[in-house]
Amino acid sequence: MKNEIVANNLTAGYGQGFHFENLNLIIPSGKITSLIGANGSGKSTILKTMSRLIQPTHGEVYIDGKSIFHMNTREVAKKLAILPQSATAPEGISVEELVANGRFPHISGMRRLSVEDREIVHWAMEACNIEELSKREVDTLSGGQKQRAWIAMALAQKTDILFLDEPTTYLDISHQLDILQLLQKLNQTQKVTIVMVLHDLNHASMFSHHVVAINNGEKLIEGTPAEIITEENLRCIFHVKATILVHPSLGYTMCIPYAFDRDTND
Amino acid sequence: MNKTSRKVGILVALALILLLSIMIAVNMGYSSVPLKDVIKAFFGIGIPGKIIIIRQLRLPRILVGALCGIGLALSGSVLQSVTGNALADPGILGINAGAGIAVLLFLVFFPEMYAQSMEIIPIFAFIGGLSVLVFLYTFAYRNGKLSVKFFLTGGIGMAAGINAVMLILSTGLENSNFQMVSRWLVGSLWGTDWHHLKLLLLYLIVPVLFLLCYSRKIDMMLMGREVAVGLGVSVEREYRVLLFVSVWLAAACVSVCGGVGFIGLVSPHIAKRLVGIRHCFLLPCAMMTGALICVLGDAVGRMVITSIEIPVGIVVSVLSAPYFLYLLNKKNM
Repeated sequence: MKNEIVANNLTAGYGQGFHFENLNLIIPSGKITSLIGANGSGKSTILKTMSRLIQPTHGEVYIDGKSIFHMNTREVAKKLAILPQSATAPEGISVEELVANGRFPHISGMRRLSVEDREIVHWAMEACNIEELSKREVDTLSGGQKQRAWIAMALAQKTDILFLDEPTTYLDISHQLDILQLLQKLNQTQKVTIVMVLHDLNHASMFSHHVVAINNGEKLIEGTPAEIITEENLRCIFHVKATILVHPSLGYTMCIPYAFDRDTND
Repeated sequence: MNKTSRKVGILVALALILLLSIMIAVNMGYSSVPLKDVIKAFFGIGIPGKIIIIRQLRLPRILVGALCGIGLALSGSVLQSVTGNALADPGILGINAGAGIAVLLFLVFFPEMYAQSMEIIPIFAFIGGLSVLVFLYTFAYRNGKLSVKFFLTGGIGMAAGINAVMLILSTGLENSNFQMVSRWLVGSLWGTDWHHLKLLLLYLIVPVLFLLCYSRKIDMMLMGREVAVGLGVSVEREYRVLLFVSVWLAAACVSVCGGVGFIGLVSPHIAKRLVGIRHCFLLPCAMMTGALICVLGDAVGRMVITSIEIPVGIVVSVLSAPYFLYLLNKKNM
């Protein structure tokens, strides 16, 4: 299947903790997949390894049947864009320049941006609704605008797959929803496969087709949000007691965690 | 686009200022030569004595200074961008010291070869600088990646240690050699000639052209390791390549003009303020700024007290240190 991402017996981890072993995972193409799990469960490490930011000690990640660790890293960048959580723009760089950096994998050597490249940069800014900010310095933007600029850069890479590490962290609730709706729109209109780490379970439920729960570096369960967000699973993954309900008008599975469950904490 | 033409304008203006300073610097010195004669001498006409002063003594020295400024500034720019730390510089990281001690060892053990060995000294300097780099790289390579923190702190430690050893070594020299070495250690253009210029040009041309072609990749490195990898840059390999090139540049300059400090540190900062952080503008701008500082520093050193000459390294440090403090202070406010 095109753009399917497969992790095969993947083992990685840096230093102590944050490691995972023998992970087998198939990311469905054209869908939004969320990785959820407690702090230190290894979900970020998994996302980084599957996008080659971390070299695995064992195992492979395949895109279209080709291992990303054996491909030219520039070729990978044409298929997969990744937005790390720690992304900070260089001082003084404008939004347009930042977004134009997304064209890097497509430009060889000394060549300048072509007309087509400029059109793509323009399109990416338009898609993220930041055209009017194009001349502004990234430093001067608000958190939500910054995140949009970064997403536009990843979009300018024109990849079919987009990885995001906690794209809504540090944003207030309106900007969280704004970013998630933007990603949803990109998934629907551009058929971009999206894989992201999310903390908010209700957001994961509302915005993803597929949810993968990670616990202690192991894939615990995966499935549709309704399958994953259950009382039993939340106790296992997050050690919390929660009430599960269905959104009265939208029909999403929702959870209201209400107590830390000491008994399951090991 | 308007912004781009402004930056090009700044680069052209800098080039003109540099040219003018070279002319003025040629004019300065123990016996001053009027500008009219300077221009005449460039074309080989005029009073023979003055032609010799200008063409054989001053001009090569000034051009060597300009080249050293270019090399050190470029080395500093690359180190600052690659490490993402505004304090990185070949002097602070101990690369100059490593190159220096290699040359010093050469002078101590083979003093008789000094005169005939202009070609070999840069190679010694390069080996010295590279040894420091290799040590630092292995020291700072942790968990599969280069730790910038360890790289910088390790470099500062190396610089201090090597400088101490150099001082001890140089005290063992006989008096005249000691004077020569100590002048060389602080950075001096004294006694450089066309031969040095040709040599330096030979050593600098490849890394300079290489880096100018590499500017877009350095732009990407500036986005941080993870973003750069995501954009398809082989970050660890580029680290090694760029660090190697910056050592090459610094070592070539140190082998000729000694340990001129601060140029590698200050020039990129000035260039950033002038043309911003895109390396296709930043690198040429830093190069010319470095050349300008070096040429003017040397000219001031020759002019202030006519009986003795103040080495360019000291002039540059004296002038740059307050300016640099001012820059840092302004940035943090």
